[in-house]
Amino acid sequence: MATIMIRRVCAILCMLAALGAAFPLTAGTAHGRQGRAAVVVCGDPANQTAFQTGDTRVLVCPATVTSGQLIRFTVHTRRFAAVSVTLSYPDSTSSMTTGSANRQGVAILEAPVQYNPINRYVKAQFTVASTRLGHTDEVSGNFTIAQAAPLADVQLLARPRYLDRWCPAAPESCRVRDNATVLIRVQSTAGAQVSLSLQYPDGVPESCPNNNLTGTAFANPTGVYACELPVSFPPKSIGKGVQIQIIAQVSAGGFTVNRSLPMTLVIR
Amino acid sequence: MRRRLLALLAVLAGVTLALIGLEVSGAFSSSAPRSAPLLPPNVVALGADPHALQETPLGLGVSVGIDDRRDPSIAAVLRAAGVRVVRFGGLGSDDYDWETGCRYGDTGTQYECTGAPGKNGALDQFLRFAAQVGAQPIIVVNGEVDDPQQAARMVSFYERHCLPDLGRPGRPCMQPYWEIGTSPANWKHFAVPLAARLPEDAYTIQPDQYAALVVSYAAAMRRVAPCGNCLKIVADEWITGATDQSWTDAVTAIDTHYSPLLYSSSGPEPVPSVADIMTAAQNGFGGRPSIDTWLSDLRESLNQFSNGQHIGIMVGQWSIDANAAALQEPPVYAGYAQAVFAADLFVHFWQDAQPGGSNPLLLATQYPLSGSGQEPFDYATSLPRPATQVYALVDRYFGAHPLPLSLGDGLRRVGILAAAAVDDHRRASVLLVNSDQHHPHTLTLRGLPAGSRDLWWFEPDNAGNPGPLQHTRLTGSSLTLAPWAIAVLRVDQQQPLPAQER
Repeated sequence: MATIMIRRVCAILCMLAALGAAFPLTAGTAHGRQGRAAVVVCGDPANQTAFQTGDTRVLVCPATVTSGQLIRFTVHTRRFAAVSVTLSYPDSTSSMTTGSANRQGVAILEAPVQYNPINRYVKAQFTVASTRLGHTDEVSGNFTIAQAAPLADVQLLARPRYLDRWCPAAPESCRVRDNATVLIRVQSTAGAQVSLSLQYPDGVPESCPNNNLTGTAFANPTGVYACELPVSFPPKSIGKGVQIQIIAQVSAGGFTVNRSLPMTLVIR
Repeated sequence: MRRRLLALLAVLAGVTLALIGLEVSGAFSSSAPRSAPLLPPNVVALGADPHALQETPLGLGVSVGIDDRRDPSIAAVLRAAGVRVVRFGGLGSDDYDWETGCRYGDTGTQYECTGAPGKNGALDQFLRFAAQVGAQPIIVVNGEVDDPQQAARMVSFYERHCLPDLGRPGRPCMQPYWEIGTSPANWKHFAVPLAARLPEDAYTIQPDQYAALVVSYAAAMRRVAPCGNCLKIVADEWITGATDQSWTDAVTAIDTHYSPLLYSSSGPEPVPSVADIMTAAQNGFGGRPSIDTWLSDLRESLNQFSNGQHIGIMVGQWSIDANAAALQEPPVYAGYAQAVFAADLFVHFWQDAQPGGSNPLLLATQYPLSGSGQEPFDYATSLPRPATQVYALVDRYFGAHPLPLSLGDGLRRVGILAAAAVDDHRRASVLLVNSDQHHPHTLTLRGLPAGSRDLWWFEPDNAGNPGPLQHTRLTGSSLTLAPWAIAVLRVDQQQPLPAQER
C-alpha cells in the first residue's frame, strides 16, 4: 500500500515537473539593467541592428540613442552564459553592464549611455562578451550617440489669477490688470534650480518669495516650479498699457538656460 | 543731283529704320536701363544674356558636417541627382584636428576621437563620399587654432589622396575650394591650441585679425599646392568688416550662411507653420531678412573694397532654420514644405546670381546633410527627404547659367516663382514653383526658342510626400502647375543669341 502511495506521489511530482518545464511561470529571459528610462522603440525591428560572431548574435536597439537614455542589447548565445556589454566612448572612457543568459540562451542587457557628444552626434563602440565553460565569444560594433540638450524643453508660463489659460499659448492671458496677481509656472526637470523675477517698465525687479539674488528655489519632483506675484504699478504710468517682463533662469546638471516672457500691464 | 539727294535720304531712312528695329529687339542691352514693358499678368518671359555661357556655372550641393552620416546609400542618391559640390565641415570644423581625427569642446580635456586620416577618419570618409557622389569638394580647414602650417599639411595630404577629375584627360586632381574656418564671429578660443582650451578663453576675433589670418593661411597653403596661386581660397563673410583690403587678392570667394527661421522648441514662439516656411526666403521672417536682401547686403559690403568686385559668393550653409544643430526640429520641416522651400530658394539663387556682374553667386550648399527634421537625409535611417527630389529635378534638367526672366504680376501675387537658365549645350530651361498649396495656376511662357519642350515635375502625393518625377512633352506655350508643383521646362533647341552676337 505504502509503495503504491509513493508511486502515486512520484507520478504527481513528475507531472508537475513536466508541466513546469512546458509552461514556465516567467518568460525566463535574464536581464541585466542599469538606469531607469525604458527603451520603448525596440518593438519595431527597423530600430534594431544585428551583429554576429561565432554562435553569438546581438541585436542592438536603437541604432541612435540620445545621451542619458538606455541602449538595449539582446544577446542570443549559449544557455546560462555570462554576458557583459562594454560601451567605449570617443573620449576613451567606458562603462560595463553584466548579466547572464537564460536556459534559452537569451540575455537582455540595457545600459544607460553615459556620454554626451560635443556636437550633434558621435559614433561609439560596444563590445559584447559571452563566456561559458571557458569559451568566450566577442561581438563588437558601433552605435550612434545623439547629443542630449538638457533643459531644452524649459517652459515659462504665466497668467492672471482671474483667467484659466496660460500665456503665451493664450494671447488674452498675456494681458494682466494692475493690482492683480500673476501666477507663474516654470516647467523644467526635477530638482532644477530656478531663479525668477518680474521686471517693471522702470527696471525695478520683483522676485518670488524665497527666490531673489541671495536665494533660489528648486523645481519639484515633476519638474514644476510655481510662484504667485501681485502686480502693482502707478496707474498714471500705465496709460494704454506697458510691458512687464518675467525672467527665469534655470540651472541643472551644469547647464543654464534663460527664458523671458513679456506681458502687457493694463489698468483694466 | 536731285536723284543723289533722294538716294541719300532713302539710305538714311533705311539705316534709321534698322536702328529702331534693333533697339526694339533689345540688341542694345548695354544702353541705359529702361522701364520694363508691362507683362500680361499670367506670363513668364525669358530674356537673353549673350554672356551666360561664359560665366562660372552656379552649382548646388550639400555640406557634410563632421558628425553627419556619409553612407554609400546617401552618396548614391546624390550622385543620381547630379549634385555638383560637397562641402566638408560645418560648425564643428574649427573644433576639429584633422591630423588626429579628434574634436574638442570648450575645455582641452573634453575631446572625442573618431579616427585619424589614413585610419578611416572623418576626412578619409569624406573624400570617399565625395568620390562616390562625383562632386567637387570644398574643404574647410581649422582657422580658429591660427596654425597655417596644419592647413598647408592638409593641402599636401589632399594632393596625395585627391579625387581625380574623371572628366579631364590624365585624370588630374580635382581642385577643391579651401575655406579658412567657419563662422569666425562665433570663435571663443582664437589662437589657442585645441588641447589647451579653457572656458575662460572667450575672445572674439576682429574682422581685421581674421583678414590677416586668411592672408597668412592662403600664403602657406598656396606654397605647398602644385597649382600655386590657382588654389581657390574661400573666406567667411566676417572678413567684409575689415578696414584693411589687402585680403581681396588672396580670396576667390566669400562664404555666407542663410537661414530665414530661428525656432527654439523651448521658446515662447509657436512652431513655424507651412505658411511661415513658404514666405520666409521671399520676405524674411521675424526680423530675419529675405535671401535677396541678404545677398544684396553682402555685395554692398564687398563693394567697399576697391578690388572686391571679382570675388565670388558662395552660400556655404543654407537651411530652413538657423537652429540647425537642434535635435528636435518641428516635423513640418521634414515634410513637403521642405521641397517647396528648397525650390523657392533655388529660384532666388538663380535670380540673384548676377552673372557677368560683380560678385557672382558661384554655388550653394545645404547644411547639415543628415538630422532629425530639415536636413535632406534622415539621420537614423539615411532615407532621403523631400529636398533631394528638388536636387534630382534641378541638377538634372535645369541649366547652370542663369538667364534674365520676368514674371507677370498675377503670377507673382498667387505665389508662382520662376527662374531661367541655359545649360552647357545652350538649351534654355525654366524652373517653376507653385508655392500655393491649394490652387493650380496656369501660365504662358514667352521668349522660348521654337522646338520640342520637355516638362519634368513632381507634386505631393496623397500622403503629402513628393510624388514621382513625371515627364511630358508640351506643344503650346501654356501650362498649368498643380498645387505645390515644382517643375523644369526645357527646350531641346539652342537658345538663340541676341542679334549683336550672331
